[in-house]
Amino acid sequence: MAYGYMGNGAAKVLFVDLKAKKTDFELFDDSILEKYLGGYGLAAKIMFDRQKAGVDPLGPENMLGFFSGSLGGTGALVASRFMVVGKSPLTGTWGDANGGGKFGPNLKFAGYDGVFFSGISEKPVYLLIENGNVEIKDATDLWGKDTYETDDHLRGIHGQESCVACIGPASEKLSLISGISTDKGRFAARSGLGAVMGSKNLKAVVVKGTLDVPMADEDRVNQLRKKYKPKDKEFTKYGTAKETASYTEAGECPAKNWSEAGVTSFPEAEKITGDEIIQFQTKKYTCYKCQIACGAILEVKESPFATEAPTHKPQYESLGSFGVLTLNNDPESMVRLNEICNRAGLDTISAGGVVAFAIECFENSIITKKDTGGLELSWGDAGTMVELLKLICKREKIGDILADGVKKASEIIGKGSEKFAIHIAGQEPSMHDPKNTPGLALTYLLDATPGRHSQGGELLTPPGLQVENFENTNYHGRAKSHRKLVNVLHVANACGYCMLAYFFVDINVMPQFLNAVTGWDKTMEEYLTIGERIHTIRHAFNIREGYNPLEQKYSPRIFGDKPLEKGPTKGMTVDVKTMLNEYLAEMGWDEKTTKPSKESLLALGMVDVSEALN
Amino acid sequence: MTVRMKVTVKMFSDFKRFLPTDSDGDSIALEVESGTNIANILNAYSISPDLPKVITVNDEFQKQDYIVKDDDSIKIFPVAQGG
Repeated sequence: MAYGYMGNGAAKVLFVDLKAKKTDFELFDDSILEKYLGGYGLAAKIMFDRQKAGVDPLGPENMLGFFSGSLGGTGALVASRFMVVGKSPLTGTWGDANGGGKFGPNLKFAGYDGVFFSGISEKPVYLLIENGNVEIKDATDLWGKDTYETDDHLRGIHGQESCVACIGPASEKLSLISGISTDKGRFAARSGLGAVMGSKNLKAVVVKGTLDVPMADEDRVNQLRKKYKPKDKEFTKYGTAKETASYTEAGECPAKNWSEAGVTSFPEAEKITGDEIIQFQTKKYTCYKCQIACGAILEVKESPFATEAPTHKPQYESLGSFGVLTLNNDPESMVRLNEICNRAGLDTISAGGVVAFAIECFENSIITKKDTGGLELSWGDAGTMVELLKLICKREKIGDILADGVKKASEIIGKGSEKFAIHIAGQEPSMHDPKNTPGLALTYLLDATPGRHSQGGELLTPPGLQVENFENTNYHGRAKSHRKLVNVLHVANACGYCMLAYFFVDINVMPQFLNAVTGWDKTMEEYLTIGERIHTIRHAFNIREGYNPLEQKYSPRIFGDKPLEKGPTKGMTVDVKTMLNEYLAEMGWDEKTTKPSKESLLALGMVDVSEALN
Repeated sequence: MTVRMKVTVKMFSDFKRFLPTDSDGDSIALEVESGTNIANILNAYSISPDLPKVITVNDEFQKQDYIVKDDDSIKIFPVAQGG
C-alpha cells in the first residue's frame, strides 16, 4: 500500500555525492520497511549495509542522513520529528540526533522520505529540494554566517514557506559538540553531527514543496487524530521548562558538575523554572500540526544578557546544564546562553557540560586566567559563562580545546582534569541522574549513542505500556521492562513521534496510526519487534566498529562510585553491573563483548546482520 | 499527652492535583500527631500508595514508612518522565 512518494509501498531516499556533485534516488519497499519501519530505522539499515567500518567520521566516506519520521507529514499523532544520522565524531559510534519544528514533514512535502550525503564538496554548498527537484547550490557567501542569518537568507531566496536545516560557525570549525539547526534555532543537537555536516562543506539543506504524502487510509488517520488529541495545559504553557525545580529537588537534575544534587546545593531552582522563563515570552508557536504547542519565542531586552533577536525558549535540558549544573540562577542569562548556542550551532547539553568542567578545573587551579584570556571562572557567574561560551563558539583560547567536549579537552589539559570530565564514551550526559532514575544507566551505557536520555528506558514510560515499576534503590529484575521501553521508543523515534507529546496519548494508539498510514495490520507486539530490530542494528553498527560499551571510558561520578555527601541521592551508588548483566542476558548479547548472539539475531530475522558480524 | 508536630508538604508536577482546592500555592502546612508516617499523610490526600512517586524529607529520599518529625519539609514528586 501507499507509504512513500511513489504510491506503491516504497520510501524514496535521495543520495547526494557532494564531491562528484551527483544526485540519485532509490526506492525502499515494504520488504525493508516492514522490518525497519522507515525514519531512522531505514536509515540505520542503509548505513549498516553501505558504510564500511572504521571510516573517519569527518572524512568523505561517512554518510550523513536526514530522515523524516515514517508518520511525518501525515498529521498522525505528533509526528513532526526528523532524525539526523551518521557516524559520530564525538563518540566514534553510531550517531543520531532528533529535531522537531517543521523540517521533517516538509522534507516529505518536497518529495523525499530521507536524504543521504557522502563525499566532501570542494567549496561550501547547500542542497535545495523543491517538489522532487534537487539542486546543489553555492554557499560560499553563507560560510561564516550564524544559523539565524543563514535561515533568514535562504528563506529570503526560496520563500518564507521553505524550511532550512543548517549549521553555524561552530560546526564549520568542526566543533565536536555542534549540531544542526532548523526553524532558526531548534536543534538536532547530539552526537556531534553538526561537525560532520561542516566537514562536508554542506552549509544547509532547504526543503520546499506541496506534494501529497500518500496514506493507505487517510480518513482513518483523520478520525484517529480527532479522537486522540494530546492535551496538557501546563505543558502547553511551559514545555519542559516547568521541570527544572522539581527535577532539582528530586535529585534528578545533577548539580555542580554532577558533584552534588538537590535543593540544598541549588536552593534557587525555582528562579529558572516555568513562569521565570516564560516572562520573556513574545509569542507561542507549534511544530507541524502539533496539538500541544509547547514552543515559544523569547526576547530579553535592556539587560547584560539581552538577546540579539527573538529566540527559542530554552527547554529543561538547557536550563539544567546552564543552570543547575553550573549553579547559575539567572533566568535572563538562560535565554542568552541558549541563544548563543543556537546561533553558533552548539549542543546546549554538551556546552553546559564543558562550561561546568572548565569551572571545576579553574577552581582546582588546573586551568588559570592565562588559559582563559583573563576570565575568572566561578560557579554561578553567568556573565563569565557567556564570555567563555563565546570563546568556545569561536574556538579561541581555552575555547578551542573545550569545543570538542570534555573528554578530548581533559586529554589535552591533563593534570588530573579527567576526574572533572563528565562523559560517557566522549558524550556529555543529559540532565538526568541515574542515581534517581537507575534504568537510565542502561540507556547511557548501552544505547548506540552513549550518554543519551532520549533512547528509551524508565525515563520515557508512555501511558498504556504495561511495565513494572521499581523503587529507585532496586537494581534487580529491570531487564524485561527496560527491553520493552527501549523497543517502543525506537518505534516512536522511527515514526517521528515527539517524545514529549508521547506522554499524553495511550501508546496503543501508535500502532493504529501506523496501520492506517501504511496499510499494514500489525499488532503492538509486532511493532515492538521492529523497535528491537532498530535498536539492534544500531548496536551492530557499533560492534562492527570494534566498539565495546563495557570497555568504554565514562565518569564514575555519574553513577555515584564516590557517593554524594548530601541531597536526595546521598550515599547512593548505582549497581550498574547487576543491571547490565541482566539486560545482556535478556537480549542474548554477550556478557563480555555485548555482541548479539546469532540466535538473537536470527530470532529477529536479521540474517544479513548475523552474517556481517560472524 | 499527644504531641503534635508541624510539617510542610509540597506537591510537584502532576501531584499538585491532590492538593485541596482551597490550598494557597503548592504547599500545605500541617499539624500531625507523633507517630504519623508519610503513608498516613498520603492517605489523607487520597494519594494511592501504589502510585509511583519520589519522596524527599529535608532534601533526602525517604520511604512511605518514614515517621515524620517536627519541622520536616516533605516533598512529593512524580517519577521523572522526559525532559
